[in-house]
Amino acid sequence: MIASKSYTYISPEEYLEGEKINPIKHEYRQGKVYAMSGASKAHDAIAGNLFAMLRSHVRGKGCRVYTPDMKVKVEAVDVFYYPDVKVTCDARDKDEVYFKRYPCLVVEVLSPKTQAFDRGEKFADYRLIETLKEYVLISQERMTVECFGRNAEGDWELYTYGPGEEVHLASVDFRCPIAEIYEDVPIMSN
Amino acid sequence: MIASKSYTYISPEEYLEGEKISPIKHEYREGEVYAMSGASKAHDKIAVNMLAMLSSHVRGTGCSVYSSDMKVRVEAADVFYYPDVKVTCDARDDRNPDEQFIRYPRLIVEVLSPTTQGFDRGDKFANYRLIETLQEYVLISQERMMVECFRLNAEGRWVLYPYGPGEEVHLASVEFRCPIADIYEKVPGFNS
Repeated sequence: MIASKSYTYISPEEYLEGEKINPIKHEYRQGKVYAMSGASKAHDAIAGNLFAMLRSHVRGKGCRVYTPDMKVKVEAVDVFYYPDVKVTCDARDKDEVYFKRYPCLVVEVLSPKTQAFDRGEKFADYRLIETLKEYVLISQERMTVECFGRNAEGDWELYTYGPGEEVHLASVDFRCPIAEIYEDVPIMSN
Repeated sequence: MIASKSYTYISPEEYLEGEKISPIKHEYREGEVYAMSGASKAHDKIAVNMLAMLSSHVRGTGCSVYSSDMKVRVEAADVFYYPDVKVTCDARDDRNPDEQFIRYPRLIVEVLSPTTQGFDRGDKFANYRLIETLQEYVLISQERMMVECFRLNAEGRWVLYPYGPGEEVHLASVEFRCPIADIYEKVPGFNS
């Protein structure tokens, strides 16, 4: 969701202070701050659908699901992102108020402007999170879910889902028909 | 490398006829034709390094290396692309010397550029995955020393093998190995 950037060096602490009072959200990458653009209706509906399903799925299991309002910090590369949906089941995340560091699942709804970054550099950054087991990209242009899962060797394996298929998110053992992710999504209502 | 598009439906046959005489190259997607932009020096140098190393590596093996002047046709998706480097080891690609494309590559390499990397990583990769003979899809950054190799495993799934500075890149589809620095040799911005 990165859009425009400012050029003065900003420390992580300054960034976090700023985000508390800023009317718009920013992502943070190594001293630089990037304003986030608003989402389309489809983008928002997809993220909302998945959030609702995951929330009821993990209830009572010691995991928490977060919306795009919660940051994920990747310490190894000094970045803060706002993934559209994320799940953490790690006790170390309980006391962090403004960001989470140990997600097992991160989901990004793709948009034309940001998909190169989501698929490239951002994925490379997320891969540095030791607890991350799955990285999921959801298209808002057609019914496609791409799920990168960490396999037994620690390598990232691609699982793709299309119309009529059941999506499986192994990190939280969640299954649903792909159509439910796109329920009431404007462009997808055949 | 897709840049601008025209809006009239064009058949694959018309497209192929046009490409024979067109001064600039176009890619083709389901009836639409997209003009390709020129490459940066870094982009071209990376592609040339890969072509040179792979050509000498496969010499005498029955495999052939092609540059970005040769198209790859993905029939199932009705597209023609010009990947930067590709290797075919399939005799069906040798049958018709007049054909302007290959259909059975084993390895495809795209050098990334800012304007096309979303497409190369997304829809284009999805199209290439429909090629039955494809075993590896390799993306090379021209901004930093990074090679991302997607390799088909025994279960038919694509697994990501990323390589960074100091590492040895392995392309299992053609049993090729080289230090990543060799891929970036004499590439502007990567000197020493």
